[in-house]
Parts: sequence; structure tokens; C-alpha cells
Amino acid sequence: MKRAQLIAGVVLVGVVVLATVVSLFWMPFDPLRVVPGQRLLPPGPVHWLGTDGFGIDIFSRLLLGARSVLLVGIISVGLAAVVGIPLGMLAGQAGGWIDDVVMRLSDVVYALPALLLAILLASVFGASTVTAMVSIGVATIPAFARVARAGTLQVMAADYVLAARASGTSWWGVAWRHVAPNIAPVLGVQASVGFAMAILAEAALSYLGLATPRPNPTWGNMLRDAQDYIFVAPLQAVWPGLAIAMAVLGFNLLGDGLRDYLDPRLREVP
Amino acid sequence: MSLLDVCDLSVTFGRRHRPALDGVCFSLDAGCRLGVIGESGSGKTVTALAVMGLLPEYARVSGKVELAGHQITHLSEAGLARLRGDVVTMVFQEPMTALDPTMRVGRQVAEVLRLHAGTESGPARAAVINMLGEVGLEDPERVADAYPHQLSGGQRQRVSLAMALINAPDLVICDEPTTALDVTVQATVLAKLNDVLDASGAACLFISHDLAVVSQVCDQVAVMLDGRIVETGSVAELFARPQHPYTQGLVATARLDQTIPGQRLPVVEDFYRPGVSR
Repeated sequence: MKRAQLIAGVVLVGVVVLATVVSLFWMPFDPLRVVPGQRLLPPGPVHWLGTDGFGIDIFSRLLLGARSVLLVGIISVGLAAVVGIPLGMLAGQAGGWIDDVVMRLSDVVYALPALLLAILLASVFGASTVTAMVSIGVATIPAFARVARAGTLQVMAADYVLAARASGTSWWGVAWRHVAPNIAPVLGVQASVGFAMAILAEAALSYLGLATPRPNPTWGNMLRDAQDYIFVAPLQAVWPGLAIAMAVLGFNLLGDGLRDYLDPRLREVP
Repeated sequence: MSLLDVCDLSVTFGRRHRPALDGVCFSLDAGCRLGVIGESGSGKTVTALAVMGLLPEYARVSGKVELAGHQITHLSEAGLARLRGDVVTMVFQEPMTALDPTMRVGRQVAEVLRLHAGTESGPARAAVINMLGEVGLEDPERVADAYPHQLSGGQRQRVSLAMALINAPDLVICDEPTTALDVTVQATVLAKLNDVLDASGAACLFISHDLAVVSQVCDQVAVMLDGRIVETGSVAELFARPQHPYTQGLVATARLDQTIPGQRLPVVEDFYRPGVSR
């Protein structure tokens, strides 16, 4: 059952990755060129998923949109992980006032609505993929810090940390050799779930016009464009919606499956 | 000069300064073995952690702990880390949790060598497998490649033993190393502990609540009660002529075979009531 989850997750995520890779080499039509004569065509043998209100092939736009999904996910989760995990581990292992300062700062960031940050950044620097990545990443830092801190506290209370210190392992040695490997599974799950959240957030931001600007397609702004023709060509909204749902589900399943896979206690004896 | 010299050691925890240790004094010569016996909460483990310098930061410590010429209470964390694993090591009570679940057992044992002797992983592995065999593990190669959850409790405790002994420490602290094991495994682990201690000539501070277990490993015993050492002496002396009423109770309850059939079994409270004799 767990294995099926992991496989389903890998397959769904694999589809997104594949779409990104394919888009680098081949797309059936130019996803940016407006063709006035071919507006709102239904799915068919030429335009597999039909065309949108500008006469652009939807399948091509979906392929191109997959790129920004992966890019935004990787960069924003990476940013949150690189900042949040060391801070959380530091807070958990050092304790005392360091813990207080780090976690209160993280509370402050957590209390700041991500949307507000996105609007702020977009109004100062102009809406772009970068502002979306930064605002999603910053908003996700507290989640990583908290998960890392909770895991670290649990590991620090374990006998094997005491045993490691009793064999002369230094503070950094404990962090690197014992805390990090033991909290890696939960962080892997957090990264995967965070990735799913980032995809949703990116879709929401680009729907609102706070991320990648037109004419570059993202699944979010495709959804926004489809809204204008929702009664004329309802299928046009289904495709990007389906793509978003599939990617989010895929990363969630992957996270769950990954946790079991990374835990040596649950691994089968070789 | 003795290897370990503890003098007037007091430790308090918490806001109300409730003493966990209250003026504990004892010393241990190189190669000697001292058993520390007492009930839960009597301060045995706190004593062990104080000697290792592993007490939590919020503990308030006074008195002197001198180990191989180093004042443990005055050393920095880095200075302590150099001593731990090299001069003094520790075997913990719970074999199920004393090994890191994400690390192969062999690497965990080799870690001590890497930290202190700077041994490369190739020769370290040979030493680890040799040590694992010495503590009585069959098929040490396979054990070295296993994760802790793939081993039984007795196997894990032997691994902990190997970890504590591989770097030839001067002092091994055993904190109830056999309490979590069943009686037959306990006997074999104790026998192995005796063997390896004999072979290495390391001193041992053996903590237990079980007088019978202590008598198998140690020749000297200290009895702890409420954070103090109430009686010390050789094991034979203690069994023959216990002085303190609490010790008399312990000895009586350990020698149930001497009870006349049909009579009520003795309990410690027959000899010593908390709060009465103080």
C-alpha cells in the first residue's frame, strides 16, 4: 500500500519533470504566438487539448508552464530549506535564549501573510517569477525551522546522543552525524509537502498576476485566462486545473512514500 | 594518586535546589572496580554523569571531580570531549535507544577510534570487527554491517560494550548495563564484561540496583541512599557485616534463600524506614 503510494507519487511527479524536459526540446506549436484564426478550437488531432482565446495551442502552453512549476518549487523550497533547517537545528540544539530568539523571529515571519509579501515585492520590483519564488520561499521558512527544531529536540533527548557525547563527539559532530540523519526523513516529507504548497501558491499568485507575467504561460494564469471563456469553452479551464491538482497530489504522495523509504527501521532487511 | 577522585560532590536541580547528590566522596584506583548500588533516585546515574561531565547545563554542581589529573568540573566542553571516549567511556542502561538508528553499528563503534585515535576507516574496520568478536558477538562482520534495529537487545548491549572498550579507556562507567536484559543474557554479558575488563585492565564504575549483579563484577561496593554514600566496603564485608540499616535490608532481601520456610519474606522497610534514622 505504502509502496503503491510512493510509485504513484513518483509517476505523477515524473510526468511534470518529463513535461519540463520535453518542453526544452520540442513543443507542438509556438506557445507564445497568437493565431487569430484558430481561437477556442476543441480538442482534436492537431491541437490535442484545443486552443485558447488567443488561438494558442493549450498543450504547448501546459508544457511550457511545467517549467515554471518546477523552477518555482525548487527555488522556493530550496530557499526555505537552506535558511530554515539550519536555524531550526541551531534553535533545537543550542536551546536557551538562542532558541527563543530564532523561534520568535520565525513566528514574526509566520504571522506575515505570504500574499501581502508577494504584493509588496511585486509592487516594488514588478511582478516576476523571482518575486513569486522569494515570497513563497520566505513564507515557508518558518515551517522548515519548526519541523527541524522539533526533530532536533527529539533527537537531542535520545540516549544515543548522550552515548555519542560520552564517546567524545563534539557539538558539531552531534549535529552533523546524529541529528541531521535522524531528522532527514521528516525534512524530506516537509520538502515534498512544501513543494506541493509552493505549486499551489505559485498558481494562486500567477492567477492574481503577482508572478510570471504574460505572455509567458503558467498554470495559474492559464486558469485566469480560461475564466473569460468559462461558458464558451469550459474544457479550457479543466486542463491547467487538472495539471495543478496532479502535480500537488504527486508531491504529497511522494512525500509520504519518501518518509517510509528513508527510515531504515522500515526498510526491508537486505 | 588515584584515577578518579570524587570529593564532597553535590548536585542540585531546579528552582528549589533539591539535592540529587549531597556531599558524595569516593575514589577509584587504576584497574579497580567499584560498584555503586542504590534504589531509583538515589543519585547513581547523576554521579556517573557528573564524572563524565555530562550533567545538563541547568544542574548546579559543587565539589571536586578529578579524573586522571583533570578537574572535570572546571573543564571546557572541548576539553571534556577529549577525555570522553579516550580516558573515560560509558555503557548505558537501555540498549534499545543507546545506538543511533540511522547508523550502521560498525561505523558507530569506529566513530570512537576516528574521533580520538584518528584511525582511517580501513584499519578501524578491522579493529571494530576484532572488538565485536571479543565481546562475544558471533559473526562480527555481519553485525558490523547491521543497523541497530536488526539486532537483539543482548547483541546491542554487547555493541555498546565494544564501543566503550575499543579505545582502551582507563575508566569504564557502566550505568545498569544489564537491567534491560533478561537473566540468561545478563549472565553472559556480565561474564563478557568481566573478561574484557580483565584483558584491558580498565577501571570500572559499575552502577546497579542489584547487589547480586554488582558482586559478580566488583570487589568494592558503595551504597547510595538519597544522594549520599551511606556505606562502602568490600563485597564480602558488606554481605557478612552490613553496618547501615538500609544495607542490612538490601542484604537480607538479596539472600532470600536464608529465609526460614513459612516465614514472611524480609523487605527493606523492616530494617530501614525513610526519614526515621536521619
